[in-house]
Amino acid sequence: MLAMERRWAAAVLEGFAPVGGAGLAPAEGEADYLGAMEQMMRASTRKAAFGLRVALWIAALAPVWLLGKLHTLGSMSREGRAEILARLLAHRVFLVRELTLLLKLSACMALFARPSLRERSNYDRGLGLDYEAVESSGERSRVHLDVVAGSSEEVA
Amino acid sequence: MARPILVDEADYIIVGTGAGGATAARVLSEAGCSVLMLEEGPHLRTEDRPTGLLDAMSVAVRDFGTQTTAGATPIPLLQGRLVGGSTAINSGIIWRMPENVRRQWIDEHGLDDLVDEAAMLRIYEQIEEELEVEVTGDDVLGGNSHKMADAAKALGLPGKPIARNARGCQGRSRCLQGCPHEARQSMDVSYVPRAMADGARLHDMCRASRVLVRAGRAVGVTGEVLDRRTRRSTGRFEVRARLGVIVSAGAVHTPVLLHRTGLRGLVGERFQAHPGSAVVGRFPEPVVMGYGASQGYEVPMRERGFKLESLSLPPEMLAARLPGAGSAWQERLAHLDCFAQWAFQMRMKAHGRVRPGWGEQPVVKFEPLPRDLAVAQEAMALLCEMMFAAGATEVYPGLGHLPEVLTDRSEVELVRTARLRRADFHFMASHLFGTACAGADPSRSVVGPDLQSHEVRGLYVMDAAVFPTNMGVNPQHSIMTVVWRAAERLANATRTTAAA
Repeated sequence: MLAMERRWAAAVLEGFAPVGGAGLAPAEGEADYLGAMEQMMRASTRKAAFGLRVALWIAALAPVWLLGKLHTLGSMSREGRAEILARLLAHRVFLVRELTLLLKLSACMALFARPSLRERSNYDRGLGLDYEAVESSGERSRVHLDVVAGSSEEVA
Repeated sequence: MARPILVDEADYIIVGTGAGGATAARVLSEAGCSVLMLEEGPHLRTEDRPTGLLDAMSVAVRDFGTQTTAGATPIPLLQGRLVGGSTAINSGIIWRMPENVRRQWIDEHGLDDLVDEAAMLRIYEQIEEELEVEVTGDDVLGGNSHKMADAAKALGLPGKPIARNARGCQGRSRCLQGCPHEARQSMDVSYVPRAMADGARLHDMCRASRVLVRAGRAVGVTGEVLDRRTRRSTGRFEVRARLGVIVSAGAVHTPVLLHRTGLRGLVGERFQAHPGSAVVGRFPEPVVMGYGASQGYEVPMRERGFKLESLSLPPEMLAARLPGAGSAWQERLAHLDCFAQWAFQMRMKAHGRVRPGWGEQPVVKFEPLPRDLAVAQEAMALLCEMMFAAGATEVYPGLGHLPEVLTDRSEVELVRTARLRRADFHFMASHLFGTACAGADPSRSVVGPDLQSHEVRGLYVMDAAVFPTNMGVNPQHSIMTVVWRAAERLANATRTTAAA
């Protein structure tokens, strides 16, 4: 992504669940939005990765084409960003709806990668989950991914 | 051409380790054949399967679930890409092939011997015993499935707990990320290790690109060895088959491999699927989707062309499915314990086509027919009605041009009667069929009743690509049984030839 796109990505994804909002609100810097989106792009098809970038442009420039205002989404208030994103999610054009949903999924991946946010969502309510252990096991898995035992026997 | 960095040889080379490939390996290696399995994805130990969804999907789900059908309204095609294939990410649902489907295969496709009733019954029973199939117990149904059971009872629908290959399930609701207790007997923890105990070998991170054919006979497979972290090619592999090559890469990638091998005719044609969609409901009391079998309860409505299932989602996916953004969404996110999600899967009439595309991505053309959309609309309306019957206070149908939130049962009529278009539906498909259909008539099929190619001797297809029709139920058990039947006949033929 371009530097501008990276700035847009952080601003757009944060717009779904603004810091300080009602309900489940992440603290400043609690969710790694950009990291989640970049990982999604790496793991996706080229077409989908391109679609995510298109989605970013559509959302970032939505104030222009949706409201006729010369702003990017990032320059709007947090509430204003959320309002525009909600409109894009319900847009009459399938492509706009679906691409915005991809951005929303990306935001969710970032939000719930953090056990602290998962705990506050009550998803595992009453299950006695050790969120600190979840955090550390997540890290362990990530480390092991690179060195997972393989069964290929390379023959020089 | 550069020298291969990996060379090997076996009686049978099997491309793919999902329900088809692993079953073929299990049967052939037990019969004493030497077997070499090739898998495009990684061989992950259970303890190395990531628990977080972002990492889990990056590693185990093909292209993060972004492989789609072509066109302006794409349908995501969810497939596993690791040892075990899609059995390592599915919910382990076990259904025998419906009798009307079996009859159709016999009457219209001449597959009498392949789906012989007595033989299938014997194989079903053996697989069910080996994979520890049992009906989901009440203790691990979980709130999501219990709510669905309540709804089915209230509306007089024929619901029942799902039979799964997961004896000892502890209800961790983590089928997609890999069962932490290895209760689910996916191929990576059942038939692949069993085949290896019988002498089969496995090369993971090997993407097959072509079957090698000499004098009209399959003699090996070539392709790329992939880097574990970047998935970039590190060099070429070439493996030789003394007796045959079995392609079990799934209904999307099997025809691509056959196409690149030079087979034409009906290769890639008659692609079929069970697309589906889901409805989410909010309840005043906790449901706790995080506990219970990922899919524990079902309402088969096969006479109406669909099947309803409870479908628990990880929090990342559930959150994305809730409507809106900003404060309204965040309020819902703070109560993720209060939601249920149920899905339908339908036996679509539409047929599509799979072709190799640019780079690695196949082109899948598939478009639901108007009558398919009518059935989907009926299923969605029924799911909404069930949600209200179970006590939901808000229902999210997820259909374009309709309200995002329904708050009263009377609004279900909107879902039932709206003039919905294709772009209003949000489909996903994980049961994929056809593209290398089996049949007695070479002019109407790609492989014969023994699943051997009509064109190339020693080249077999053993996965859902050989299914001449879709089925209306979860296909894993049928894939395994049909492949088992073909593989044991192949093993017998091999033994007879060797003895002679």
